[in-house]
Amino acid sequence: MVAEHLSENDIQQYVSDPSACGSQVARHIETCETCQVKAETYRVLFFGIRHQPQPVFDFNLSDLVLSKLVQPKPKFSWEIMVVYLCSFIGIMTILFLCFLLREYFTSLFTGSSTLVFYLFVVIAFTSLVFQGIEIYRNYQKKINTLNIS
Amino acid sequence: MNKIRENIQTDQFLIDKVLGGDTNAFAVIIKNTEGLVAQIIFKMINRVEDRKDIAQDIYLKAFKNLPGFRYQSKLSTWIAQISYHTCLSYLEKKKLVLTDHCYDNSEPDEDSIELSGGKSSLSFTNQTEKDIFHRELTEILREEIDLLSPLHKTLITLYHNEELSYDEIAQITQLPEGTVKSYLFRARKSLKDKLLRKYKKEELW
Repeated sequence: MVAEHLSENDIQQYVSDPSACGSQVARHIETCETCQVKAETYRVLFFGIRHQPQPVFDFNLSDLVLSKLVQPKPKFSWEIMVVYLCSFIGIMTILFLCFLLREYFTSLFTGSSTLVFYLFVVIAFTSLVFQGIEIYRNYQKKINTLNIS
Repeated sequence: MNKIRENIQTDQFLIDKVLGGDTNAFAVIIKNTEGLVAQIIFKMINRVEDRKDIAQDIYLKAFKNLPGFRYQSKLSTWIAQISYHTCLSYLEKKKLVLTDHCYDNSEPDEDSIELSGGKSSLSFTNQTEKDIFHRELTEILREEIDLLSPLHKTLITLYHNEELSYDEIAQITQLPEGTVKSYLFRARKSLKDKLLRKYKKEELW
C-alpha cells in the first residue's frame, strides 16, 4: 500500500479510469479518508461536467452548408469503364462457351443419380439464399445510414 | 474492433457517395458530426455572431478536402480537427489567447470543506435535495468552465462530454498526448479548486 497520500494526478486518474491505476493506488484510496474525500470531489466534478447541456446551433447547419456547395458533376471514370468492359467481355465469353458446349451440358446430369443432382441443387440454392440475405442486410444498413429524416 | 471497422465502412460509404456527387450524403455527415463541431465552436468562440460563419466554413473546408481523406482516423475526428484549427485561426486573427497559465495555485483548505455538506453525490436524503444539488452544481460548473481558456474548455469537453480518448484528442489538437494529459490535469484541478472555494464561500454565509 502507498503510505503517503496520493498525488492529485493519481486521484484524477483513479476517478476517470480506475482500471488504469495500479492496485496500490486503489488499496490506498480504500483505506485513506483524506484521499477518499478528494476522489469524491473529483467524482462530483466529473458528474457535473458530464451533465453540462449539449450546445446546439440555432440554425439549420446542413441547409446552410448545402446551399453553398457547388453540386459536383459525377465525373467520368476510366476505371469504372474498364470494369464494365471486362464484365461485358466475361459474360459474353461464358455465354459463347455455353453455346459451344451446350450438348455437353445437357448430358452432364443424365449420367449421375437423382440424389447427386438434388444435392447439387440444394447446395446452390442455400448459398444463393445466404448471399441474398447478406446483400439485403448490407443494403438496409446503407439505406439506414443515408436516412436523414 | 468491430465498431472501428463498422465506423470506417460507414465513413467510406458516405465519402464514396459524396465524391460520386450525392450531396445528401454530405448532409448525413453534417448531421452525424455537428454535435461534436458545436462543442468545439461553442467552447472556443465566444462571439455568438461569428459561430455561424465558422461552422459553415468548417464544413465547406471538409467538403473541399474530402477527396484527400486517407482514413487514418475516423471521419468525425478529421472534421473535429478541421473545426479546432479553423477556430484556432480565428483566435489568432483576432489576437485572442488560446491558453493562459494564470491558474490560482493556492490550495483550498480541503479538510474544512466537502461538497454538498460532506455528503456523497449519491447519498441524499431525498430526490429533491439531490436534484437541487445537481442543478446548482451544473450551473456553477457552467460558469467556471466558461472562465477557462478556450483550449482547456475544449479539452475538458472532448474528454468528458464527447468521451474521446487521449489519442483522439491529440489527433484533433495536434498536440502530443502527454501535453493533452497535462492540460487536462490542470484544467480539472483548477475547476475542482474553484468549486471547493465556491462551496466554502457559500457555507460561510
